[in-house]
Amino acid sequence: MSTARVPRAKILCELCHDRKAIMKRPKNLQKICKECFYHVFETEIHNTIIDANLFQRGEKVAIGASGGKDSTVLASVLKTLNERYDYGLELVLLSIDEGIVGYRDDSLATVKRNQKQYDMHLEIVSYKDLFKWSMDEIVACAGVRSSCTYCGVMRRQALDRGATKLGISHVVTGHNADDMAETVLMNLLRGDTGRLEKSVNILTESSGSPVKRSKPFKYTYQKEIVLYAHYKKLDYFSTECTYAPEAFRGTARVLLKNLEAVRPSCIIDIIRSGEQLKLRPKKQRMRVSAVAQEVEVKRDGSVSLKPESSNTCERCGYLSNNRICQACFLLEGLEKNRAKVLIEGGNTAIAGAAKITRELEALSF
Amino acid sequence: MTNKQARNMSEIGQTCRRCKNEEAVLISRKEPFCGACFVHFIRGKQRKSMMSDDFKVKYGAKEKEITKVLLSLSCGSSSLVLLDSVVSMLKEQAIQHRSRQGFELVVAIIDTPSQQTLKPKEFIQKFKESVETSNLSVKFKIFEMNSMNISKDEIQTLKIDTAFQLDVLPSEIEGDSMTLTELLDQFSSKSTKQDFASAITRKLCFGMAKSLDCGFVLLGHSMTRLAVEVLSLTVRGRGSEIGDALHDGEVSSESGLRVIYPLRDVLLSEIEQYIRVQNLTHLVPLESPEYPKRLLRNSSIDEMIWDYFKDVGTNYAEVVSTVVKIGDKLTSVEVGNPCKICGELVADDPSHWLRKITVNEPFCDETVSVQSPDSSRSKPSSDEVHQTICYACIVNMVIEPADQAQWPRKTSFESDVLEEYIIDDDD
Ligand code: SF4
Ligand SMILES: [Zn+2]
Ligand SMILES: [Zn+2]
Ligand SMILES: [Zn+2]
Ligand SMILES: [Zn+2]
Repeated sequence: MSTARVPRAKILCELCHDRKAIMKRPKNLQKICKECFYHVFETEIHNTIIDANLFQRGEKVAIGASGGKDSTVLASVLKTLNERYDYGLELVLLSIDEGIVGYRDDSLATVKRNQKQYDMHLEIVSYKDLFKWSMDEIVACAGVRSSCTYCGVMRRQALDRGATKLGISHVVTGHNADDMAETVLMNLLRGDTGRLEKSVNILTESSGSPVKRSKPFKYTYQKEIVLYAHYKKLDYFSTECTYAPEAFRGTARVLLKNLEAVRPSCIIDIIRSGEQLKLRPKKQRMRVSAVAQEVEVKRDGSVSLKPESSNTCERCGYLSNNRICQACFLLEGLEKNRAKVLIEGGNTAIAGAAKITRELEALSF
Repeated sequence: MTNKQARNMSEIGQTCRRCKNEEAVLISRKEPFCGACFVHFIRGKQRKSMMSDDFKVKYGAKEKEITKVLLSLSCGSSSLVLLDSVVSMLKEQAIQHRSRQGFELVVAIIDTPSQQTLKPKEFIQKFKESVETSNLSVKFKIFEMNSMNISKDEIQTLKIDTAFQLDVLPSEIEGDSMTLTELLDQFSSKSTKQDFASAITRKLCFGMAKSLDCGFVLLGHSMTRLAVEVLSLTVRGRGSEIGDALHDGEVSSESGLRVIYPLRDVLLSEIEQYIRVQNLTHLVPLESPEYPKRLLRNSSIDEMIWDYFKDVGTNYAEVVSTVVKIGDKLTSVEVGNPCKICGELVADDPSHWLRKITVNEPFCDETVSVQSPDSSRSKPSSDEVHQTICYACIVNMVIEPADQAQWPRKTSFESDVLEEYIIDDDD
């Protein structure tokens, strides 16, 4: 973060004109002091929450906690705001144990420390318990290339189930402004009419699901989240998942980083545009088929797809428009594959990675 | 790349798939073409977008009833291809209908200081040497951007405050007038300059169409250029303008004017191939494939997006067409007040939106502990009346070191004012 520092001393904060400026604010390059930074950072998130009417008094809210910087800062800020403005929320940490040795076991240790630091209840839902498969086992069987596809489908279900188990109907996640802007660009580049208008929704709710998702960091810059964690000395885990493939970053992310370097406001500018993108009404627009397409898995593994009706999976009881849900569908394929690998002794898995994604896309969930 | 491709083709000696006779000289969309068939293919796309009765030969039509069409010529490669194609259409009509043509063509050039290598006069002369137009009704008009002086009383000071609101004050300029270039030079950011320049050029182009009595405006944007436009408008916070900027048809801010992009289906690489095949390279130098990469820091938003599409590589045509298609499905703001700077319609209050997500107040202990959630947001004081400004223009103003700029009172150009600056090139 060397660029965020102001090299010479004795520059006064542009907001309070009193304390020494210690940073250039990534969002607008304002030179400000630490106190003013905390103030604007937290107040902007508070404004976002109030403006979107995100929380109800007495609501129990689960924070999707991975131990990474986004969710750690989210837990810290929500705790602060809940106390400062008396939201009356009961905050709980909800973590997913994907079963990735060397990554998740360490980051879960971070979440456990966070639990003590923030004094919140922590619930851990593991893939192994829920689906009888850990990510390590899935990767061993299906190859590394489709890891995030499996992981994303399972995470969504795991978060829902974890929340339901705790009697919670609202999960907040650490998606930030950079993620939102990237989604807008991706949806344009992919020509995704089904998602375009919803690219920057702060709240995703579906008629069938009992659990809604929201993103209080919608307008918060990733760089500011890092700075906040840094100055507040928050305890987070910064190693990346061993399976995160380079290609997953996508070209849109690179473009966005370049744009941000010449015009820092562009992240917010893109979100502003995203909020204004409206499709022309078309008589025979195939709404249903447009919505029910491929599964979009974000790098953190969350999935933005929501089932349209409230049918359930005949195998696990989870919401699904099909006979079986996405997770069960994927796992069924894995079971077959495992049997095949055992018999033939070869690794047919990697070639199947693209195929499985295509099959998922074809299924209308 | 296209050069090499063309060479490879003739070396291989494939036959053109259209005429099944000539040797192919290039490959476009995976198909081998001979020169003549390729030119026919591209012109076909232009003809298709101008198929309506407006452009057909009408026997016995009075002079008033003949469609007048303005073609905006930037002297770049795309608008040159458009001009060549439209002129060929007029020639065909003249041959088929005994010297009649379906519409009158006015070629308008806005001469900006930073233009291509050839000055408009030279460009027109060289074009006429290459393409016969003397028997056709084609007029060339030049508007020299800096010939127009905007007088002091037509200018005002726009000032943006910390609440992102716009105040309008009397002008503070030193001389008694300003040129358009001087207006643009007030802004230090390259992207901002380009943003305002494109708004001004668009307005000038529409203004010229009106003062020259043209009901149609032809713009030479290629598919690639339109894709850049979609992303660029998005990145500049002008997402709500995409629909209007991309549709063929009426421009919502300029009643009555209809805009057509006849090359919206043609890739930039195909524009360049057309220019080579038609031997027009002496009019526009084509970028060599080894063109050195721009330095990131010195790039504008548009330039970075161009580079992005160049780097997409093999999927390039697909991505470009996808982006244009989705852009064409978008709507624009239809009711609202015009922005005092760029003239685009504004439907909501962007300063309010910005205030909500960008807090500009310092930390002090009392405010934080005492305030209730609602009062912590600064509300616009309702007794003050602020001027309409669009989101993108707020950003343009805010990122500048100076919080104010001199700007014309009117955001569009009145045709009678423009008239006196338009130069006829018909010697
Ligand atoms: S990168 Fe994220 S989604 Fe992909 S395997 Fe790792 S944890 Fe799962
Ligand atoms: Zn300060
Ligand atoms: Zn199931
Ligand atoms: Zn041919
Ligand atoms: Zn504007």
